[in-house]
Amino acid sequence: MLEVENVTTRFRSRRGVVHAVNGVSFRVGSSEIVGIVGESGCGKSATIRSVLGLIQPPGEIVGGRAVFDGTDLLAIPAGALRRLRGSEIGFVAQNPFGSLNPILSVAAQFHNLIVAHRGRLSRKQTRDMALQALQSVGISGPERVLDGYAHELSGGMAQRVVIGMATVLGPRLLVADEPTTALDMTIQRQILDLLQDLVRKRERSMILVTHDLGVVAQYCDRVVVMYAGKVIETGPTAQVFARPAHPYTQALLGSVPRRGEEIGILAGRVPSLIDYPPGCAFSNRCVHALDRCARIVPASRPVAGEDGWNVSCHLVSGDADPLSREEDVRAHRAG
Amino acid sequence: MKAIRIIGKRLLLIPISVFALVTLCFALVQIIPGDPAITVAGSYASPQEIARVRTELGLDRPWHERYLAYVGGLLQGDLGRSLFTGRPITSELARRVPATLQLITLALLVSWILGLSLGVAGAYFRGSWPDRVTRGMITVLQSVPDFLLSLLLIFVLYFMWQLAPAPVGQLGLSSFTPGPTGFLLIDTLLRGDMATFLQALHHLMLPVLSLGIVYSAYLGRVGRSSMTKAMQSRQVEFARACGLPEWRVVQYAFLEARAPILTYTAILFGALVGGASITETIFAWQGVGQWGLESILKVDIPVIQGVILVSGMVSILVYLFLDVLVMLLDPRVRYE
Repeated sequence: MLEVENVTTRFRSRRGVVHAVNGVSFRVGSSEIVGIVGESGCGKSATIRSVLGLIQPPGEIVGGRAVFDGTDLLAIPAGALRRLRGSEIGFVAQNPFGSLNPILSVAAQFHNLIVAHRGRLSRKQTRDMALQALQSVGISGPERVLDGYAHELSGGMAQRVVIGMATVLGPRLLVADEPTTALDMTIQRQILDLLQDLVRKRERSMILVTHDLGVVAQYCDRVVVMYAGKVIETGPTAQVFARPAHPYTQALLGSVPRRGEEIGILAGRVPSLIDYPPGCAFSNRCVHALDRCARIVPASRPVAGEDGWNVSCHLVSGDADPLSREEDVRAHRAG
Repeated sequence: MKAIRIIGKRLLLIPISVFALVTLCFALVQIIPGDPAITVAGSYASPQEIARVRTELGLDRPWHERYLAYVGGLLQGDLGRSLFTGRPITSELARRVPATLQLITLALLVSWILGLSLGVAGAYFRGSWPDRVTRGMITVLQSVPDFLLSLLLIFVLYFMWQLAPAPVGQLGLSSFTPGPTGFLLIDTLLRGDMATFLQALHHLMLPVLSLGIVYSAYLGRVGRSSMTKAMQSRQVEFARACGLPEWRVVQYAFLEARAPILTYTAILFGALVGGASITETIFAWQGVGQWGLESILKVDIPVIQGVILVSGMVSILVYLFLDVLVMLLDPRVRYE
């Protein structure tokens, strides 16, 4: 359904070029929920914004492909991509209050959204569509919500309205960027359950960006772990969580508090995205780092015997595959 | 409803503002240097003559007596008479206020169109070349003094190309007597005098352009900064993520950005009632600002007070109008 390949996005800033997204690849199958996890600033949001064409200057996509149903989203004209957004690909943002226009009524925002994709429709027609959408996201009394404004809604209600707008035109892919971070704990689960429901019942797919590993474990079929603008491990959630291959994934899972266990603490800091390190970006924090880790970028290689489970680490692939070690040595000599 | 309560409260503040304005207006004139008695009597007058003039004008009375007399007069709609011409200030203002309001309203309209186009374009193309070009234009416009631009426009558009009439006031030679509103454009239309209407419009061209271009720099700046902020807001990103066309995205941003722009326009309007004096003088406009400038040079105290009072009153009313407008436009203030 969506194949992201080698997407690279940079931001020019006063202090230098920020390497926000560095050759990110992952795929989302149909009827699949894929979680993208990582610390703040690891390029999760920049990745999905690159795919959706929402990167604004001084940001720039310098390479890669994002093929959605046979169309490379990064190669088509801006107007064509705009028509896909909202109708074929729905977006749910982090802060529901920030997402809605503060001046226009909810009904007017639905109207503008629908006529942007479906052409001239009457207020009555768009209102009916909006009513249906609001009912499908579990809003009781949708008439009142439609005539109201963003500031009159509670956080959970506002996010439901946003999800209603993202799904009103029946998109096949939903992209949710930390949809529950700004909400109460009690509301978080309701919203995630709602999203899951909307995806599973209508055979849609979803990319769920989060920094909450518990959310990934519960809702996602597959997981993409990002670090410093790179995908370092990706695979089926169950396998990755049971036997994480990359030391960073291991550390990340180790930092989840569990009863009767000590919380693992990951020492060190994320490398600067401006002076991007030449080798593995995680090598400065990795307790198992080898000599070559700081020099040579590890390629993404399948974890032995597992379909769709890939990891970018010298420790894993290097040991499993003697050929790659020779490559490393050759590269070392050449360097 | 909350809106009516807020408007009511704002209206209650008006008498207090007006009282403060009247008092300040009186006090300011007391402390400005210069003795009107000397200017009225002439520089060769003897001390006895000056003393006589001072008594005549009532300037020898203590300040609180003069203040009470002044306020008393105001309450009866009497602003006094000019020390030099002896003409009542109210009738003079009735002629000059419409001339100035007509000029600055049209000038601000030009500033809005020009300034906001520059500002919005700059904000939309932030960081790329249209932004740098518009920013450069705004900076140049802001550093051009209004009198220089007026003279330049007169030289090019009147003297060289003859596209505009000579800077001889609102109409030049004409038998048209204004009325009933005093606004030339409205009066001519009301009476169906198209020839004079066009003539008035033609005479408005240069002063409106000078003021409009100079003040477009300010609106450009405000427009640029508030639109830049709005364009980076999450609601604008969500609008884009919903696939709204770019013009609609800009509209969403402008809805969020317009409040400071409207407020700034009100401030400019208030400032220009008395502040367009140099442009008015250059074009012999016979407006409020020009009159104020002349009377300050002559220390014509009642006229100075009248001009300050009128520009203050216009400011108070315009602020009130804009406060209410901004509130009615924003649902967050409207209900609650």
